[in-house]
Amino acid sequence: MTGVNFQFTRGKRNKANRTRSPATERVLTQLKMISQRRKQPKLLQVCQEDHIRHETITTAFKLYRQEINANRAKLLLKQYESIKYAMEDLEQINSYLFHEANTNQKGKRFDLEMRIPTEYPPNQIWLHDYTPAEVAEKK
Amino acid sequence: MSAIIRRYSTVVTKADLWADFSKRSASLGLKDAQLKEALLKGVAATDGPVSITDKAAKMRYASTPGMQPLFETAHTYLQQRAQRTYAAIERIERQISETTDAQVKANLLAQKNKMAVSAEQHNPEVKYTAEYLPENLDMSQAAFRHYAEQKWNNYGKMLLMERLETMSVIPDTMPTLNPEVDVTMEFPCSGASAVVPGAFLHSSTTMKPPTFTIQEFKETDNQLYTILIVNPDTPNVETNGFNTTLHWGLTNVLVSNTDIKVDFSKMCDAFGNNKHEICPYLPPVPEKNLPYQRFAVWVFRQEAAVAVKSARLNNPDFDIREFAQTHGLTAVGAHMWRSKWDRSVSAVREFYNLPKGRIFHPHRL
Amino acid sequence: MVQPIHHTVKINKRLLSPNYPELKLAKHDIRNTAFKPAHTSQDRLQDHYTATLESDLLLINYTHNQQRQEGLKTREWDGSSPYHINRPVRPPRGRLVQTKDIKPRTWKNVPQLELIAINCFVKEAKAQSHLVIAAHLQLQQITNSKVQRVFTKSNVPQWGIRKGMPIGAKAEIFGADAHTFVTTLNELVLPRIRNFQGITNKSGDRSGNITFGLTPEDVKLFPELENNAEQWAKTFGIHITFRTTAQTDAEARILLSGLGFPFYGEEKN
Repeated sequence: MTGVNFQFTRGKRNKANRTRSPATERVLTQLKMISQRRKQPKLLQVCQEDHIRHETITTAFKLYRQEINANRAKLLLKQYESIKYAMEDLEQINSYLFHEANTNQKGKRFDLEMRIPTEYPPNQIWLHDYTPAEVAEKK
Repeated sequence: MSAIIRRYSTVVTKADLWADFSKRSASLGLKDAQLKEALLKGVAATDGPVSITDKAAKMRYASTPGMQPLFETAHTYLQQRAQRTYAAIERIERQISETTDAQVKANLLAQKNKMAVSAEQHNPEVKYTAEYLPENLDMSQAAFRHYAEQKWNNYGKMLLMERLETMSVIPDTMPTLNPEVDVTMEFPCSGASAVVPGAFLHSSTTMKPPTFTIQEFKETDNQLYTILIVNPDTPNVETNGFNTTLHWGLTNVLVSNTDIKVDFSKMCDAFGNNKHEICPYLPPVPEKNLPYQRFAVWVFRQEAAVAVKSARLNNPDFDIREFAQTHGLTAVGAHMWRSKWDRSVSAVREFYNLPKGRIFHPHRL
Repeated sequence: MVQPIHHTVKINKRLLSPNYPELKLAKHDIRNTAFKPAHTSQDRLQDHYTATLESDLLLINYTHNQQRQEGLKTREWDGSSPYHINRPVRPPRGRLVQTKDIKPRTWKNVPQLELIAINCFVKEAKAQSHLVIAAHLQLQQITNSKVQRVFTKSNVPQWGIRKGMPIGAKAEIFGADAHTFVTTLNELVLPRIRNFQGITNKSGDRSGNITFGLTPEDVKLFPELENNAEQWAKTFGIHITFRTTAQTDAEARILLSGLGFPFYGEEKN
């Protein structure tokens, strides 16, 4: 039997005198991290009053978010309609500009510098020696 | 997003809409002042929750810190929304008073009911009562009816339909049922516990007629009901099949959202005569060696007051579908139990002066 | 004769059972043992999308008087011959699979990031199956979500695989998890990759889903793995697929550029 690790022990093999290779230990640690054993959070014990208070808070927040989203959808609809009417007018006024405005925007990219806003400014606030990528390439 | 937040700060803070009972029913609030305090101001650290009665558990309980300011903001926000809903209800009420078209009126009333629910369903006092104090539920309020209907939809309604379908009460009696009312049934002198649909009941339990409760979730307006108890498993030896027997019938029973009981105090006059009975109560008297008999209770909504000719009830095979059609009845609720032969049946037969029961034997053809 | 029963009420047997009363409550009910808290922190990416990108994307994608463009569909037999009954449908003209219809762009279908699917195929697992455990944990650390094992589906002796061998891990992340993954990529991982040009413009499945990959060295840069780098001697490369509600690859690339991803190369479709 080749390739089998034998543990030679004094007396019966048990948890106390077992030895594990570092590789086995590493894999076991990984398995422990993956398993959910003893990692479940404790169930919050809420009395009846606190349960209703919690429900009130979460319901209010849910309805508030729904209202915000509904208002946002209304604004988007307004924007869409204003674009539509503007394009209808432009079609009548100037057909060249209309076709330019109606071209497919494939290849359009948002600026990379337009990063997702953060609470605090970046470590380097202003890049004094900034050159855009296209200009740098030409040089 | 900031524009929307600014808008709310300019609105007059209606933080006392749900504390004001001048235009609203008092049943929408909590009667227990201590409980109300704990709910709206927070569980007192010294006393513990009012809902927990055990002193040790009361002291042991630790509420989540930091809830009160959040709760107050949420409470104010919800009351602002309710204020707008109440304004819309007032507008709809004016419209209802102005219209004459019955269909338009019905639609407006349905809209009004929906708004009445949404105006109060997020009220913490209403929620607490609906969840934890079912004995205080005032069914004249739309919000309480909404919560009661939700609870029934999630359990009682499904249980009833499961029993009716698996025991083939549907379609052996009525073809189908769209349940709209919650029917509960209780036999007196049985320890006063509600019957679970489909349960086997002893003949001594079913000796006396049962009492019902019919909970209507829509707003009622002098609605009359008919209740029939039918047994589709009465053996007919001549045809080697079964007949349907009418065991009890009640008509023109007036039930409202708040007055849900159908019992003798309601139906019997000073002399003890039941004016609503169309036939006297016939108790379940199953015969020996028969399989169990199903007893279906059907609750119908009447279009108008019904006058039943007792002559047609003398037919040994009662046709419930024909009965419902001729009298303009719509099935809105049901219940059922099962009976089989036991040693009290003969005593029940004697009590009601019924003939002695037959003993059946299996007959191999 | 079997009598039909018209099930007018949908019966949920789980709610009728007396077992596990806490699990019969709604998932968002705090008394439920399966309760998961939501909205625990600000979602920067979602806020940026709704505040800035959404209205811009509506304008960019707008085409005047756009009609519904039918995709290539499978072709049914017309029934002119009796042999057409039960005959399998014909594939679309010029293509093996159907393509989706392209609907007109309105305020209701502005492209959004739906989910991120991360796949980790571990070739070395053929010989050392314990490496799949490390790959699984790696994905778990990166994504903060439940990871699934991937097993081989067939026997191919030439490749040295049997059916049912653990060969990798995969995960799908939605919502806030996906958004934090995007911000981690764009702010911590991708800026530190050497010679990183961006996502290729050739990437895309013609349906608005973009994929790119990270090498095992790139994956080491994730802060969750960098924190205890000594335990991560062996990391595994991943394929990241952005599933968006964009109808074409070009629109998906515009959306992703707004989320902070650079692109390079020639764009054909």
